[in-house]
Amino acid sequence: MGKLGKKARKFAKKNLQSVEKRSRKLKPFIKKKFAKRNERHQAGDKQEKKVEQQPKKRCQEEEFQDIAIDAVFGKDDDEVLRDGDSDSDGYLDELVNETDSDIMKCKVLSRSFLATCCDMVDKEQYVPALVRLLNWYRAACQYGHEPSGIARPNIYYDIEDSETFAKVIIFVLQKADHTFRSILGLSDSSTKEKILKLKNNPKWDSLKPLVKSFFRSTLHLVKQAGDLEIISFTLTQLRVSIVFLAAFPDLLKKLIKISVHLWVTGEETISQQAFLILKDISMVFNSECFDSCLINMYKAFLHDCDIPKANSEQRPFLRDSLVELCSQDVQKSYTKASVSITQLAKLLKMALATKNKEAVEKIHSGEYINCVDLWVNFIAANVQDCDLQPLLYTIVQVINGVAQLIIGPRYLLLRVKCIHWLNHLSRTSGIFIPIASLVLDMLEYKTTNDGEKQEQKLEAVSTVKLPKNWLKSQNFQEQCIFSVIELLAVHFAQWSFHISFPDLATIPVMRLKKFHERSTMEGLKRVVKRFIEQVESNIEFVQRKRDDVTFSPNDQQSADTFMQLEKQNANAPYTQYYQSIIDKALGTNKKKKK
Amino acid sequence: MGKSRRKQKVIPPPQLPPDVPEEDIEFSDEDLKYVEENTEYARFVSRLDTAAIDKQCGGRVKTVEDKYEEERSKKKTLQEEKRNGEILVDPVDVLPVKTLDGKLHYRTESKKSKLAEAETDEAEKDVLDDENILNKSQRREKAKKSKREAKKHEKDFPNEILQEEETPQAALLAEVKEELSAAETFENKKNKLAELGMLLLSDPEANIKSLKEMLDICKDENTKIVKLGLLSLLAVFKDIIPGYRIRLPTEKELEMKISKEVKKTRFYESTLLKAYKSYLQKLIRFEKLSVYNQIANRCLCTLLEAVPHFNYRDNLLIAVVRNISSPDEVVRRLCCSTIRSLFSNEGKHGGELTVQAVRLIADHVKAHNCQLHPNAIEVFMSIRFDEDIGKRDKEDEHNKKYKKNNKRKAQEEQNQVQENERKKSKQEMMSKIRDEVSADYRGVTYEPDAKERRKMQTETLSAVFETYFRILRNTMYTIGERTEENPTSNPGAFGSHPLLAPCLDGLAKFTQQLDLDYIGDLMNYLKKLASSSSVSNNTKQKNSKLLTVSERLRCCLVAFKVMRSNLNALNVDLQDFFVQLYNLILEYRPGRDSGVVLAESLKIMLCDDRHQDMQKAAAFVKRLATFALCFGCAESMSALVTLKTLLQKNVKCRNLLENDAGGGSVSGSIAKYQPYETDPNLSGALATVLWELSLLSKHYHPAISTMATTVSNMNTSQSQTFLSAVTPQQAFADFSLVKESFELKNESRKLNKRKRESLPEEAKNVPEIDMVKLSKKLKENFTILRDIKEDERERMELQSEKKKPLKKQNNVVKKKLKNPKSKKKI
Repeated sequence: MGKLGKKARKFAKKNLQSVEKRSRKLKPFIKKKFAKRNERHQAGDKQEKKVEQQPKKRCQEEEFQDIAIDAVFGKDDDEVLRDGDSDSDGYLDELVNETDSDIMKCKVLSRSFLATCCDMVDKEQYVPALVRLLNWYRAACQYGHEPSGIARPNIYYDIEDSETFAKVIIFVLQKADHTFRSILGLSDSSTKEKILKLKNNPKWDSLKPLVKSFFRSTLHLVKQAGDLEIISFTLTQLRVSIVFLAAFPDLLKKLIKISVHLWVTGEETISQQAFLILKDISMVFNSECFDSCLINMYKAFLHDCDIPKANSEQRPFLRDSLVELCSQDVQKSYTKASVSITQLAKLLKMALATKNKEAVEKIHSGEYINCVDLWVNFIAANVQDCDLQPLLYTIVQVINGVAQLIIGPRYLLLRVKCIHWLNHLSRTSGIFIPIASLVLDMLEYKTTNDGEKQEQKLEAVSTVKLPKNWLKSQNFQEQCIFSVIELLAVHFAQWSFHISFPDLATIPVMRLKKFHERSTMEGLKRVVKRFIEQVESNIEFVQRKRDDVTFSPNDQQSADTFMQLEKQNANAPYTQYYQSIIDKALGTNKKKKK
Repeated sequence: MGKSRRKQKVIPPPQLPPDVPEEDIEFSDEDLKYVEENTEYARFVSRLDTAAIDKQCGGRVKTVEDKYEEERSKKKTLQEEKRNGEILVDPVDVLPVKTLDGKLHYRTESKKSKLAEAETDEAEKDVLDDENILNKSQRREKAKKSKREAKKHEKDFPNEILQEEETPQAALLAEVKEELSAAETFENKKNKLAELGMLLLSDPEANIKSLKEMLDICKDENTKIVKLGLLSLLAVFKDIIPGYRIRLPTEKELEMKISKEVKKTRFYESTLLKAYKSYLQKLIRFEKLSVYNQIANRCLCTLLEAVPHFNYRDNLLIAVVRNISSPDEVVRRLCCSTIRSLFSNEGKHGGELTVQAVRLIADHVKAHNCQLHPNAIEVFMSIRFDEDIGKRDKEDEHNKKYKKNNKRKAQEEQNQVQENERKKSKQEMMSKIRDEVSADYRGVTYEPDAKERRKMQTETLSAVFETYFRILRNTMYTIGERTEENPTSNPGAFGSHPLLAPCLDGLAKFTQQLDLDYIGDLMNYLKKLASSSSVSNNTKQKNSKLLTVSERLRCCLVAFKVMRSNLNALNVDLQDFFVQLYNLILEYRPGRDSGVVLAESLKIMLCDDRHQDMQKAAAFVKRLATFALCFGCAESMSALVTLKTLLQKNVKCRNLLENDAGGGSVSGSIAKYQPYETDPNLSGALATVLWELSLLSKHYHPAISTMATTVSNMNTSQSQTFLSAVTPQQAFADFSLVKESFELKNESRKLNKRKRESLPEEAKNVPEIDMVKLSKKLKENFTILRDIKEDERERMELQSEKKKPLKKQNNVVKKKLKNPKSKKKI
């Protein structure tokens, strides 16, 4: 395609189908329409608030079917995607260089010429050479993906061999940032504001197209490259120059999109690198891009949860990284989290009230569970530093509701997960969340046939609901008891030095004893017995200590300082025992993953 | 068909007189005279349908409207004539013919009638046959239908039309009838049902015979028709059944001479009764068939509800009670609600049916060995027992009797001497007649006197309590059976003790009516039931026959309610129930057991109990606090509310809030708290401190944490007599998750934390990239891309030259497969 005017290109985009088709071909990897937040973003906070409020209001009138967990943040069209692409990928003009040496006119990149070029750029920051180099870089990035069928006899950049190809890419990626900065006279730690101020700098006018070309080519490379290492290298190098994107909001948006996609779908390192980019973006361009990053990532994350994949072990990473991003700006994330949690609660309420199949299934969907998981981790990560009390309270109630929604052995895993969450929240926030009754119910999940021995691996199950035939297996019963002990151990470990510990443990110990009496399986009995013994020694210890104290229960301060010294030491046998159980559980979890 | 034929047969109108404008016509004197002389003759002029004449004779072009008009008026006249039994006369034919000499000629009527008769076609004749039965609209419908059939027929066999037109009417009709599809018969019967029903409703006296016809329809093979028939009959009966019971005349009465009116009424009543009887028989028969089960039951229930005073109500009741525990939910609901309405609207049947129904249910329960649906017993809850039935009446009566007696005595004294047999017999007869009359009157008004009502009530009560006790005994028996290891008896379809829960509810409700003599037994039963599970725990066999925690809690509850309603008149030791509650609190499982029942027992047994042993109260306080540590917020809250009430009532228990050195001053005989003790009195709870509150004040639920704090700050010295307004039940309901609003208070809060400065940390995250490897990969990538490009170009060139050597194309394809893009998908 010849170089058309911008308007003409836009027109072609909109009205010429063949062009559309081509552009679709060029970006086949974006399968899902990530809902975009387009111009509204730049328009500022005013509109943003509107967007946030609108879905909330709507939800109150909605039937539950319409409450989508990810619909929280409004839906945008994918118009932006095209807009971002519409900027020309044209080559930089080289008028400046016409007078230069003959080699400059050579459009086929040879090894020797590249070397000189690199040299000139590296040592002297010679701009024409940089222009030339960037043109070749562009050619290299687009190599094999040029718009087919259109020959360009006048400016045709070709690359001689693979050596040069590799070198031009590596060189530009490595040196471009440094070169730009040194030409502009910027330090390595320049902020966004400085970049924006560059507008007044005369050098910027000449350099701006170069920077833009660099970014565009690089983005293209990231999009097209199939190899893991190329992508990760490119991403790493790109990260350094993110600040420059302040001048190119369109490209920035494009980068966010690409990174989110890579973050969700990519392999471990790529995902990591992509996340780092997103994080940098949200840090550097806090006000404008944080929301965009967060929302895109949130949606991509939830969407990803619904797709059963082989690499589900990556989900914790996704979750953690999203939490990390949220923790960057708790204030903003707080509003997002509260909207999302309200949605979760609404769905749960619906399910609790009607108990109809559809609603319950929605609660048990991967999307719902992962969303809860995400916010639990977010709250756990930040509850120490900020006042997240309302969020904490609501999410605890939601989790309790999920755990109690359907009671039965088939939902063992879900219940275990819920209790894990509660324990996690309790541990991080220092707030007491009772879990004993939830845990102890699992003791009574009885196998119908004790004699029946079916060896089945529970690890393979990732679904919420267990298949019926598993419930009869001995393995299942073992799993129940081990989970009970593990969860109780976590719970007790947290409060093992609290003055109320003996009372807290009373009922669980009674129930465990009863189980011990009744159970017929020797192996389990032994485990349970050991646990009871340890807890009882803990009770006795605390009891002895508290008999000596003089304050009353209403003296909260003294109660809080009770046995803090002992807690620091943490070499009591029962503490070590709890720790060993927790470690063991972690170990088995890890093993499962492997 | 008919119409067209008629049109053909219409005799063409007489020749019109030449068209002369009206002004031109000159009346001759003769004419005028003639008219004056024969005014009668001219009367037709006023009746002339000028419009019709115009249309028929005028040269005006007929518009559609005109045609419609014509048609309508024709129809109208047709109908009118028919109704009057007159013969159709076309207005055209009525026109007189004026001869030249001025005489008017009229067509004779006989001639016209013949004409008209000839015009009516077969279909209409058919209709006319039924005319005396059908009303207008139905007639029209029928006519339409036959026309439709005919049309259909025409369509189906277009070739036969010609032949058919020649065949005689009867044959045609027969054939048409044969052609009637099943759907049309169905339609026919439906219409018939509707007709009969309407007739019956409009004038039951005259059409009472139609009942039989309707009943006949119900013998149809088509289930739909039968169902419709049953339902229409239901509607009819519901409407026409009189507000009194029909007593068929005795033979003696039949012999008597009676007026026509009475005869008619008697006939009506006997027919109605007969039909009703056979209808009921049919229903009761159908009720056993699965096809008609629901419909028959609906009819039975509706009838019983609507006309519980009428004859055969006993049969109705029996049928309804039989289905009170039907496995079919719809039927069961229906029956139960019917029985309930019987109980609550006793005015309709004077309470007699209540007694009978209760009796029947009691027998039913007995027959099924208490294995029925809970609904069967729940209906008892609707029975109302009036404490002071006719107390006032009784007093009045008493006075009257007294007076009467006095009078009678005086009379007797007076007449003692002249007493003779004749008078005596006369008096007897008089009183007899009076009694009879009053009995009859009572029979009609259904207002049994107080005595009778009381009698009925006692009967009802005894049946109700018999049922309840039977259930209790049965439950105990099955529990006892379990300990003897009897695996053969498996629980019924309704669970192990389906009737226990409603039975306990009922006992709690009717406890005031219970005779004091029985209370002792009842308490024993309840005690055994409440403690049933604790015995069984020793045996390792799990058994479904065990009472659930809710049921046992209910037993305790009922025991307390019984005691309370009798104002603790009996000296029964409730200690056992407290022990049960003390242990049941631990057995409680949210989700499995009803938290509402638990909250209620906390309220009734702990909050409302007046004099409590300190030791026991302390034990409960401690247990509730421990309980609150382990359970969800609804349970915790109700426990805390109870705990607070207990502390407020028992000043000494507030010592639990203070940590005195040495375990408290008021510790009882037991020096140390025994948390695992099952008896609250032996737990030594007074020796302990409520440390639970310390942890509870860290509870995630703000309400619970504040509650814990307020409790822990309660003052020991003052006697705080005010009681909290919230009951445990209320607390439970308010804090259950279903009621949780999940509303986030969206205050604009300032969260101080912003960006985390963790840049150095990130530096570690940069993966080590092997540059050599990278450049190698890039090179590979390049080569591949270049190959593709070359191929592409070659292909382009080839295409432009319009030469397509297959070989090269294949090459292209092969190389294309190596496209690095495919790698990306991995």
